[in-house]
Parts: sequence; C-alpha cells; structure tokens
Amino acid sequence: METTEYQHQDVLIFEKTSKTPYIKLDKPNGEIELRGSSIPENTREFYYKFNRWMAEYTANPAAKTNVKFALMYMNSSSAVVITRMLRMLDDMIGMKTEVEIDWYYEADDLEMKEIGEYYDEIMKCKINLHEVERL
Amino acid sequence: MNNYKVGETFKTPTIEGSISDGILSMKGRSLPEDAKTFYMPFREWLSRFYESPAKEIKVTIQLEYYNTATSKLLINLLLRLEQLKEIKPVSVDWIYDEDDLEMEETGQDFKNLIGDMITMKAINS
Repeated sequence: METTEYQHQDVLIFEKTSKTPYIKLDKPNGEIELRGSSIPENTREFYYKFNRWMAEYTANPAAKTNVKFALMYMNSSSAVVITRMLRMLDDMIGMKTEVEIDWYYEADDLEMKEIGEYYDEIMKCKINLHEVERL
Repeated sequence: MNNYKVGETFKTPTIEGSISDGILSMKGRSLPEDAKTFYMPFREWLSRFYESPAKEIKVTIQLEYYNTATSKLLINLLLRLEQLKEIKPVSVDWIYDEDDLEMEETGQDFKNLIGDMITMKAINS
C-alpha cells in the first residue's frame, strides 16, 4: 500500500538546492520563509509537505505571522503554489493573527518586482516590497 | 509604437502585437542569452499594451521551450492579463504540440493560476 505519510511538525526546514528554495516553516515563532529559486522537477511532490503544513498552520496560526519571500526564479507550477499560499494567508485575516508579508527582489529583477506588486494589489494583506542588491 | 514585431531566431521567439487591435502572439523558443536585454523593449511595449483601447484582448502563446527567465516574464504577463480581465474580455490561447507534455502541463498550471481565460489547444505538427 502506497501512502505518503505526513506527520505535522512545528518546525520544518528544507535545505536549498539549485532547483528548490530554502524553506523555513516555524509555527512557534510564526515564521515562514522561502529563499532561492523554485523550479522543481516535480512541484506537486516537492510542495506536498509544505502545503500540508500551511493548511495545518492557517487553521491554527501563531499570534503573529511573518512571511518572507526572496525568490530569484520560479516556474508556473510554483506560481500556483505561491498564489494559493498567499490566498490562505489572506484568509487568516480576521482570525487572531497579524500577518506581515515581505517580498524581496533583486534590484534589476523587474519581473519579480512586478509579480510582488501584483500580489500586493490582489491581496488584502499588505505586502512590503524590498529591493536588494543581491539575493 | 503601436505595433511590436520581432522575428524568430534559433533562441528567441517571434513576437507580434498591436495595441490598437489588442492582440499579441509569441511563437517559437525563448532561450535568450541575456533575457533582460532581449525582453526590455517588449516589456516597455507591454506596459502600453495593458492600456490598449481595444474592446477585447486576444493573446496567443505557442512556445516550444523556454528558460527560467522567460518563465517569470510569462507568469507576470498572465497575472497582468488576469487583472485586465476585470475591465474587458481577455482570452489567451495556449497552443502546444500534442506530444509536448511539458508545454501541456505548463498550460494546465497557468489555467490553475488564472482560470478559464486560457484555452488549451493541442496541435499536430
């Protein structure tokens, strides 16, 4: 019998690879971070635990949630994951948690800047855009 | 500049568009060595395309292969079109070779991202 086990953990860390980002999911501190590039071969598989963790977290979040995105590249399937994740965070507004989202992009990366701006426009959550020299 | 037109090369796609007609098409491969430089004039044109006076916007994307820099450009483009849909009809045809599973999956991802404004069209080439 093939089952994918998912045991919820308070803290989940994924180390960065050339195709997948560093991810930190820290429930006690309400910290969520994605840093690097997200172009996995199999996005669904890579983000399976992440999505499960997010579902658990958003149902029972910390008092304050800090989300940090620092992405250089992403593919279309990762954009789906990130958009869904942002919608889940948006749905937490009104629950007993504050949500703060920071979106970092490299100074010459107009695409990631505009994608961040798009998310800021469509979400209720405020997204703080930060231009940095290098990610 | 109402019209935008660049011809296809081995590593870059044909791009044709008209602001007054509200049409845009991209066809071929997109693997420019320096995506930023290649796409800069196109991005500038796009910012005016989004303000097109046309009653509807029709976009056709028929790419065989593209690099990660192009991927960001496409995500950005499609997200903008999705916003534009709030004020006028927007349609995007995602055309892929019936044997090209990767492009089919990518089209499906975009459909998941921005919904039914994308029509998937398989062709037999």
